[in-house]
Amino acid sequence: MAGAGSGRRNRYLAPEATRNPLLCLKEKKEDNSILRSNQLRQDGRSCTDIRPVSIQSGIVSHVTSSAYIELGDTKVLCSILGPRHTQKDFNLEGQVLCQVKFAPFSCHFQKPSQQEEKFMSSIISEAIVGAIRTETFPKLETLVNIVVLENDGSMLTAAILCASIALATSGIEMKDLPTACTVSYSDKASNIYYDPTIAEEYSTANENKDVIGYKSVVYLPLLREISGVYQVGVAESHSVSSQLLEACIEGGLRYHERVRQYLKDLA
Amino acid sequence: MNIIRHVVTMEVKSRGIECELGIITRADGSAQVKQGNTIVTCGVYGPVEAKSAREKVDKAVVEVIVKSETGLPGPYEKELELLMSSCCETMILTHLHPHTAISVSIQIQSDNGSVIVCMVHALCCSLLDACLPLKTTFSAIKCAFLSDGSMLTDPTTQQEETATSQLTYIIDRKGKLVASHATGSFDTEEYIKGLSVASSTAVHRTDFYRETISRKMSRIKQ
Amino acid sequence: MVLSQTKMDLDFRLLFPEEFIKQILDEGYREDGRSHNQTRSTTLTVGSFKSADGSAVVRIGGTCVACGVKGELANPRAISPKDGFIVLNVEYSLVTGSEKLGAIGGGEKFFSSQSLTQIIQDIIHSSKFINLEHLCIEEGKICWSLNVDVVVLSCDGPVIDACVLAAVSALKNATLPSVEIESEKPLVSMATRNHLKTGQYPLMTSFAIHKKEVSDTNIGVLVDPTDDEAQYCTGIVCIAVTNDQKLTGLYKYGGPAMTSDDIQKCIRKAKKQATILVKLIDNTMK
Repeated sequence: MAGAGSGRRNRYLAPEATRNPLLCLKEKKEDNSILRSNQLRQDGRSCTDIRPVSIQSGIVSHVTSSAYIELGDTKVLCSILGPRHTQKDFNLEGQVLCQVKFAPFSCHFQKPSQQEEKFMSSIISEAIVGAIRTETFPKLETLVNIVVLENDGSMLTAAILCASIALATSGIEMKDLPTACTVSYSDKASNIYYDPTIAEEYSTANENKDVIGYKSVVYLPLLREISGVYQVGVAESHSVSSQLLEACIEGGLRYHERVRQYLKDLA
Repeated sequence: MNIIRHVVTMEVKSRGIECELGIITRADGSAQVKQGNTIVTCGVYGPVEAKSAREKVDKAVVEVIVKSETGLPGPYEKELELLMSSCCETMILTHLHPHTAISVSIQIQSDNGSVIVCMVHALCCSLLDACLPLKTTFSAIKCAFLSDGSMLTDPTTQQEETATSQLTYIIDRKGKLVASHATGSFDTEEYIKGLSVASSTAVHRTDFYRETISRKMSRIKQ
Repeated sequence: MVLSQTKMDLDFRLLFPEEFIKQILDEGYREDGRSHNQTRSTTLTVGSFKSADGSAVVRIGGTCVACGVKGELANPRAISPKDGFIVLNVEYSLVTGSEKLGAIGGGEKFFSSQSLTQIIQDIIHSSKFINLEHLCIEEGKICWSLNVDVVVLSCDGPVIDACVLAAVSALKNATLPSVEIESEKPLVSMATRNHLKTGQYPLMTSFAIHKKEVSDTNIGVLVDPTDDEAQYCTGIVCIAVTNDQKLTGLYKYGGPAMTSDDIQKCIRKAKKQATILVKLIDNTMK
């Protein structure tokens, strides 16, 4: 390095191509199973336990409202901007625009592509818009911006819960407080794991043969409506499917109770 | 077209400045400044009507674009833009032109050291050429300290690469610091020493601007 | 002392924010009750993101910045076969409101993310914080490339100070797995991880400069300005000081002109602030 402006006049070199060190591992992970011998998961939870939830609101300055949630190591931050003027065409219903982005260091392996981020945004957007009284802000738009700071599984649950806390504290009128839960399951749903970590979630990169898929459900508890379902993997039969759905709703209600308690304490 | 060439040499050791006004015919004001082999061209457009999204009710918006000799604009150019636009905002009496935009493009044609200095001089000359109302004129000087503690003014690229610190000062007519861009490793004494050298040159640069403009005016009279 | 705000004060603040801040500053106070050279409390957390090799979260008042370091394997460039890479990138996250939206989303940002990237990269390299040769695994064949991603989560004040502190702490917190070369192929063993070798590190302090109405020559200097204060004060000064009290960057952007006495006052304050931050880092890293 030559003195002050290193490189050619304050421009810094970047490598031409890089490899992820996780692809060049020396030792293979021996223990891939989810359950230990005592029927508890690797982090000591039973199958139906959810990880500790930590909520904080009002972190971001100069926005309408914001919320931060941790589900174990999964960390999500959400902020609401607006309702405010829009450049778009006249519409009697208010518009809700939801965007999800992953922080560059949020994933163990690789950050999702822009298309995947857009796909996540549309799932969350459709799931929460049903709970918002959009007719109360005609001609205006509200932005729901979500940033995933760390993804350690159940990211969709965390994002939905975070958005609903931020919306609830923003003063925008709502019909219900959306809640969500993610479960992953093994073959024929013999084991259902609530609130899976990234290692317990199913993916093609995951060599874990124990789980064959996971399911996330967004539920509106007061309206008793399901506003969104996202599933990866196979569910062989109708009974398996409904079993998973019920598990998700049951888990969702548990989160709902936690969120309600937080909002009550806040008030 | 009013083309003015002349050379002013400094008491402080530095390369002579050569300035050519009105080099871009379609701009409201333009200048090309050469200092040694460092050449910068600057064009000023405006005040013109601002786009409604950028418009400000109480003053003109100043937009600065910096382009270097090669490559796409990156962080380096953006940082120079920030420095130059802060100079413009301080120099131009923007409140005299509310609801308008002034756009400044600076093209680095060749860089052989002290490029910020050259950019500031090109900017000042073209703003004067555009007849925009200014609070003051700025001048700049760059100092580089070598590892043995000796100081160089107006360093070339080779000298910059061996230096431990590079300090660029942008000062007003009275010799006070308006903007600064200092990198490398240095201590307070070195910084202050450079600043006092910069202050002492301020008056010469003011003469330079005056002469440049008076030559332009005498051309117009003829 | 904290100024008591009556209903009328709040209305005045809402209608004439600039005039409000100007009057308070001219009387020698600040909106949040701080004195002119008092900083807000700074908190630092390291290692909170398990997905990164090193991470830090910094909060200075209402400003919040997160930084994560991830190591990747790369081939060194032919011109510098011994050197690894540090690729630093600063971005304003979505939650702060878009950069373009101006007053609606967090006010207009003074520093664009690209200029922040350039400035921070400049001072990290010139302070000789990390010797790029230490990132080399095998000369000319393979080296580490550290992706240092700084994400601004909330802006209310000196974003650049928080970014520098976050980047430095994350790099100090980072551990890299050991790598062996076997028949030209790198083998990474996650079990043994080592901290980076670090040298002097930079710390940044920002000031806002405003002109006092009383006399033309007097200027007021605010340390750790909030967004509203920075918007009224036209000048920004950022001073980077290393932990051994050497200057490693001094940036001033426009605003009222300063004499060398004014600048020296700022440098002294920046040096004092740097010692406080060094203590903070030392206590957090223990």
